[in-house]
Amino acid sequence: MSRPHSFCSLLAAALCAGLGNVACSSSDPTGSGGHGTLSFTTWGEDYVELQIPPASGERTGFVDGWTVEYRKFLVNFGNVRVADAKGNQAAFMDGSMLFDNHVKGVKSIVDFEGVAAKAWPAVSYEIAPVTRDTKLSDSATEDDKQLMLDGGYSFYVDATATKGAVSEHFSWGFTIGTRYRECHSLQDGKDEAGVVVRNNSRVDVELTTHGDHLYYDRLQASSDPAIPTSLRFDTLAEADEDKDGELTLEELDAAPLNVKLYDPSGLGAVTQGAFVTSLARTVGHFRGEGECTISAP
Amino acid sequence: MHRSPARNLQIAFARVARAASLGAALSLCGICLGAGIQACSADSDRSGGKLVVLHTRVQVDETATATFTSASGWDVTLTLAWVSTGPLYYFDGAPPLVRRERREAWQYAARFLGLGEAHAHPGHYQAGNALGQMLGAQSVDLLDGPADLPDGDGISGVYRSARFSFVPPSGRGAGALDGHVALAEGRAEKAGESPRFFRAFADMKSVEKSATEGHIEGCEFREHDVESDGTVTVTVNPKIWFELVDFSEAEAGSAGAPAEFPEDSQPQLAFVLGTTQLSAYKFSFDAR
Repeated sequence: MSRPHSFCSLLAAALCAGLGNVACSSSDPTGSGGHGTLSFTTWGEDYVELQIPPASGERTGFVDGWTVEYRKFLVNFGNVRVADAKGNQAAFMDGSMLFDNHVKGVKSIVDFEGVAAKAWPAVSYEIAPVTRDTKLSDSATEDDKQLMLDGGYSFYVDATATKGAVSEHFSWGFTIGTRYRECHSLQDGKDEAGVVVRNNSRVDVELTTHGDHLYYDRLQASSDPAIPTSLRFDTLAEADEDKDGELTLEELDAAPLNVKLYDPSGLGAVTQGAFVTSLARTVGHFRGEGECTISAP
Repeated sequence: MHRSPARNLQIAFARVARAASLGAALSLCGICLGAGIQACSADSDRSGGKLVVLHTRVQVDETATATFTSASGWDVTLTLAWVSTGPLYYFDGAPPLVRRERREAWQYAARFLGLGEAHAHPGHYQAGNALGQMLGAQSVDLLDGPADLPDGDGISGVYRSARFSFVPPSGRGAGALDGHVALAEGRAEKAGESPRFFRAFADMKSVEKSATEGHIEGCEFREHDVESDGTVTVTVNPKIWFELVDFSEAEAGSAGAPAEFPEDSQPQLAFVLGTTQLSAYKFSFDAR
């Protein structure tokens, strides 16, 4: 039977008592007032800029020997919002900007200057379909924007998977819009909701994109330690029905989910395509490995 | 003295009510449920403030009472469908689009360093504040009409999501489940294939591979601002249990001797996964 929610009141009281003003005080943790700058950026990590390798020893990678190299990793960020716990807004980026995170380096999304020095626990953003008003970052081109507009895409990847002499090229565009809210991350070993702005300081807030998520074999880690979460491509490659070396989302949509290797984790995906689309909602992260609650925009 | 979790929650509700500080305590509950630091702010003026009795009923989704077509194109007719239900909990958090579990610090570090296996960490479901519960367990014959479960209790507020839970069968009806937490028998047909007469089951151990402790977290609760006593209805849809099942890999069996899905076969694995899908369990409230 489950651990009790019943202990909530007592546990919460204990937590508040134990953590003191770090976690539970309603007072401003920075205390001193003043203002700072919030600099939102994005980066695709080595997985997106270079490659996702096969797993080897303790190195994370594809457990079935594949390598994936991206040529495009287009992400349309928008509606970045920073607020306090009561919803008072400190900063908001209206509209969206298109990035290609395969292009190397950390890229600026937006700078918010003159933000009050205090904790801003409610940070959210969206990865949403490109519109005519979408701005271009230096990493993306007009052709990229047109491709996204034509497809109604919010997220698009162009990549090649290889295993020995076999290769599969794929260009997958996703029309889903996803809102990432209540973002939190590990800072100095502690879980921090949103961001903390300090007087006369600049805080870099990276909206990191994780290129490996499209290949997970489950949406939620199993409680059974004998069942690890793994990156796989064999089953996806087998879905290339016409064996032309071009793996389409339509082919994935026609491939029943391989239940011997994949677990839709309650979300009901019955095809490999539906599963990959669910995973596509999870590429957005916060300050590296930080995470957000995902919802529709 | 050790009290059961259920008893503790009952006591907590009662104490909270007596203290007339319902909202504050339930906001604090959010901490346990993943609401994290926000919950510490104890938003005491959000109190719904009223205790309610939640009668509870289980029924089968109508689509499963007639022949239905599975995602793989098999026409399935059920002759038997049993489930062993455990405690139910209701929350104000919205149901998830995708789920994740909160990671520990070492897991962040492991990925950063490129060590160990990948960890599924998509965006997460936050249950939010617990608003109600039903703590009984019962074995239910789904095709025998709606079944009443013991009354639950809760507080007024907007109910949005729920936890369904499996428990090992006990009490009246447990014999029919033969130790399993879900059981279904019937016939599957598809053009060009011989009919399959099947007996499908899921046991607690296999369910727990996908659903920790047999809990199906984040089920949809048709949004309702609960203000008074009423009935929570859990609609179980066995059609979802079969969505992933490829009957072509099942043995034919016969009407008199339906075939069990072999261990670790596609149909067996798919059936178990089907029993853990959120869409198989939908909750609603009626103020009667």
